[in-house]
Amino acid sequence: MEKRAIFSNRLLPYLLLAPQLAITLIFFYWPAAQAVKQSFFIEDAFGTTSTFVGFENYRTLLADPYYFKSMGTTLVFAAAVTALSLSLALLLATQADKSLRGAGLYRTLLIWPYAVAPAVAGVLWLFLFQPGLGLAARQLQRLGVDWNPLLNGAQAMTLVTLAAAWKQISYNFLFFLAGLQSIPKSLIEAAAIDGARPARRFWTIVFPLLSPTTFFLIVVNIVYVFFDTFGVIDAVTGGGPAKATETLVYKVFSDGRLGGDLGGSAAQSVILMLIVIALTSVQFRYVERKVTY
Amino acid sequence: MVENRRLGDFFAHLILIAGVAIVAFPVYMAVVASTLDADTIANGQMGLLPGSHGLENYRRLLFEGTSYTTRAPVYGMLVVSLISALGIAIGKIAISLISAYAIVYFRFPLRMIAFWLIFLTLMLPVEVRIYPTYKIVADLHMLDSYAGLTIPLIASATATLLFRQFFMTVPDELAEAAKIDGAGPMQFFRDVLLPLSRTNLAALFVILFIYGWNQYLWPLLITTRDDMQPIVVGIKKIVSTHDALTEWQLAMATAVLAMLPPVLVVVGMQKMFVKGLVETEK
Amino acid sequence: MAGVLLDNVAKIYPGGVNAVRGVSFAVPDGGLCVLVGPSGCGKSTLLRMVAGLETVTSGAISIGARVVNDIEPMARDIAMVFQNYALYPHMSVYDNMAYGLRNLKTPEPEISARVRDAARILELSDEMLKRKPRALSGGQRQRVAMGRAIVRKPAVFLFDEPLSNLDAKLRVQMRVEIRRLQRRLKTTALYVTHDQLEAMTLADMLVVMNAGRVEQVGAPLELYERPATTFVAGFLGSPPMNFLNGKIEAQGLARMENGEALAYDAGHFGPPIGADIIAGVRPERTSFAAGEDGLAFKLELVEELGLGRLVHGRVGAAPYAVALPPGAPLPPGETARLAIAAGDVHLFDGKSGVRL
Repeated sequence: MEKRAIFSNRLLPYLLLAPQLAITLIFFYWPAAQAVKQSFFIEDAFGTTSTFVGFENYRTLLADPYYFKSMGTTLVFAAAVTALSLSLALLLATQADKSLRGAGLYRTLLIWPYAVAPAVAGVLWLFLFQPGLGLAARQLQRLGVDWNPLLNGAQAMTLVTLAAAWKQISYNFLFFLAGLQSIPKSLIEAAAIDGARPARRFWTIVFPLLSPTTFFLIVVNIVYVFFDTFGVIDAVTGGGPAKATETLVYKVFSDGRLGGDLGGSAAQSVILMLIVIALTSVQFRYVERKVTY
Repeated sequence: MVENRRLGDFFAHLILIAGVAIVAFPVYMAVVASTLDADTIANGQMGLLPGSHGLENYRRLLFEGTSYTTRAPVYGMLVVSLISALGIAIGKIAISLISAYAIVYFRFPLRMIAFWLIFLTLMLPVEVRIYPTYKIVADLHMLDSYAGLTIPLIASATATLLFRQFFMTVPDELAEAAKIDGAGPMQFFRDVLLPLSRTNLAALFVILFIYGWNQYLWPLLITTRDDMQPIVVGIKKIVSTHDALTEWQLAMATAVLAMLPPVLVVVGMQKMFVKGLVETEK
Repeated sequence: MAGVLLDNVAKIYPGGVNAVRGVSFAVPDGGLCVLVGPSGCGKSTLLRMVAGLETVTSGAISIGARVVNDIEPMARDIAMVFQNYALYPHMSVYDNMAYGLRNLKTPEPEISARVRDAARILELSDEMLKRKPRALSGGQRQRVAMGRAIVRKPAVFLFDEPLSNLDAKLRVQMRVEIRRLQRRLKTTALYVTHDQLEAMTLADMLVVMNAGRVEQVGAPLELYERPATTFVAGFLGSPPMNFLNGKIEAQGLARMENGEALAYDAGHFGPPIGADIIAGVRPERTSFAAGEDGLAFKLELVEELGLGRLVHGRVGAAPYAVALPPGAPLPPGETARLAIAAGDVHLFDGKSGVRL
């Protein structure tokens, strides 16, 4: 689709694009290019000379057990958050889709966590589960659970998962609700006339028709866990204990903060870039019709 | 449909109320904690009911800061957060609006390249280019400044795509009528396109304000001074890793203050928020 | 006030599409010229070139004495009414009409006078001037679009299918109003439509276009009565002209495909004997013969229109329609003979479709 009505000024469009393009080139493409370049070099300890080493940095990285551990951590984290947050959101959305009294109020009360920053969400859950202090932690300890996410990796992972999933529920809820509302009521009525009970109607009619939304949300949630949960991790566990909650993005951050291995850090960034490119491509295949250039 | 609705509705209400409770519980506990004194929390005596130290806690936090960890008053952090969130939201909207206008309403060499350059930034979130971007900002002497907190974040493929999408739906005849009415490109932009974009602007503003307010990694990287850190970063510093030093009642008060503005925006502009959220994902 | 002159105007789009192929005609000062043709014939492109919304690939467009090819739309002294009205949705009706004048830095008192004047002519109330276009009916929006055109006091009005978005009843009413308005203002107008009835009723001068070319230019009745091509003959008139293929057998006599003879008015320069021809006869110029003479007609269907009756059938394999006045008797059986006067037969070249 192209506009027929256009203006013919020569200079103006460049002026209009200049701010966006300048920022894009300076703060997006230049650093990205730097990262790609650096990933092929090794710098000496003082940062004075650098040597081209080809894929050496990548080889080192892929031979590093910690890197694989971090990859695994990220995948487990992504799967757990996505599954937990999506299923809860779907359950709530199906209930809110019924024409109930106060449906609007429920919606309002369910969507606001979207506005809470991941780091803040992390702090809230950290407090709730702070051994000896938090209400939930005390409850667990009273039940005999040896609760200490500062020492126990699995418990730390559980905690960040809860915090990250909590924040994402509202987003998933809104999209599920929109998806449910776009399913024609006549289909459900037809199924009812065909003798399907409510539960069967859900699994045979509603859920399949909802699959585009579900697929979209799965991708969005994976992207969220990979890249936007930095704040949750940093606020709750700082990647610990013993790197048990160190996601790929967190690893780039903490490795880089220690300084030193510029090439290795760059290689990590480049791999992350490839992951984003893959994920956004999948996402845009889904919304292909919306990008018509 | 004729069905036994009463039982179903009862369970629906039950599930939704449980959902609302789960969603609200951590925040409620934060509010409760922010009204208690340090000892009650430290001794594990905290219950479900608020205490009486609320005003004192918030006053101390806002204007004096905490005792042990970061000592910056939270009032300053709120100002930093507000300025950078507004800067990011307005900046993103402004530059995206004009670039979408250029791409849709003009034909010029390099037009498609410009479009793709902007579009592909979707694939380069700050998380994947942390240190090289930091280095550039450092080289440009933008560390610890509002320019550094905002400018590198205001390029926006999403907003540009949204406005482009919207401009495509504006009938060609409006621009043609404006031309015949003697309006130049900037006049058409100001008199016709901008007023027509109002709801889109508002919807996008809600989303981008929240985005700006909730920035964490970027400000964490480029601010070292306490008086240049937004509240979302500040809260992490209040929660010390040394458990004994954390003043939880103040940390939770900070959390409440950090949530309040974006939550109010979402609840108050719910319609715009939902519209913005759904449209930016297109 | 000014006439419009098109001299060999052509438009080739960047993609290579040849939308307009060398069009020439002149609209006299104060005349209402209707461009009519099927969709895609280039009529809208031509109008948009006159407006300055499309560039001219070759040829010249003049408004008054001035060639306007390279002049911006606003400097051409034209006003345009769009099919979808193109009213600015966020401005009041008043502001919609005033916008162009404001861009010309016209003093506000004069703007106000002109807008109110236009509103009075178009019967738009003061209260309506304050409304947004959204709050108006289709017919009212149409009036506002015209109001926006009149306040400019342009040398030329351009109408791009202005009535297509209205329902049938309103369309007839607005058609009359446009004609009345244009007569009153005596402003030259170029009017594009695909509706042949609208074209016939509105035009001082009709330009029939097909595939980027002008088929014929002239007064509506002139075109109706002496169509230059089978295209024009088939396009103007509803139901359209009937066409039958045949060969010239003798001066004044053609042998049709079904083997029967049809007499025509030989005129001065008849086609040569043996030439392939297309004979055209208007449905309302055909009636049923009492005797056994005339082309054999096989009756298929009768439509009662109230204003008359329409008899559909076939002559040989070709479809043929006969329009009868109301109550006229139908042939008794399935078949009948057609009565066609020699003077009512139009002859066209069998290959090119050009009038002979």
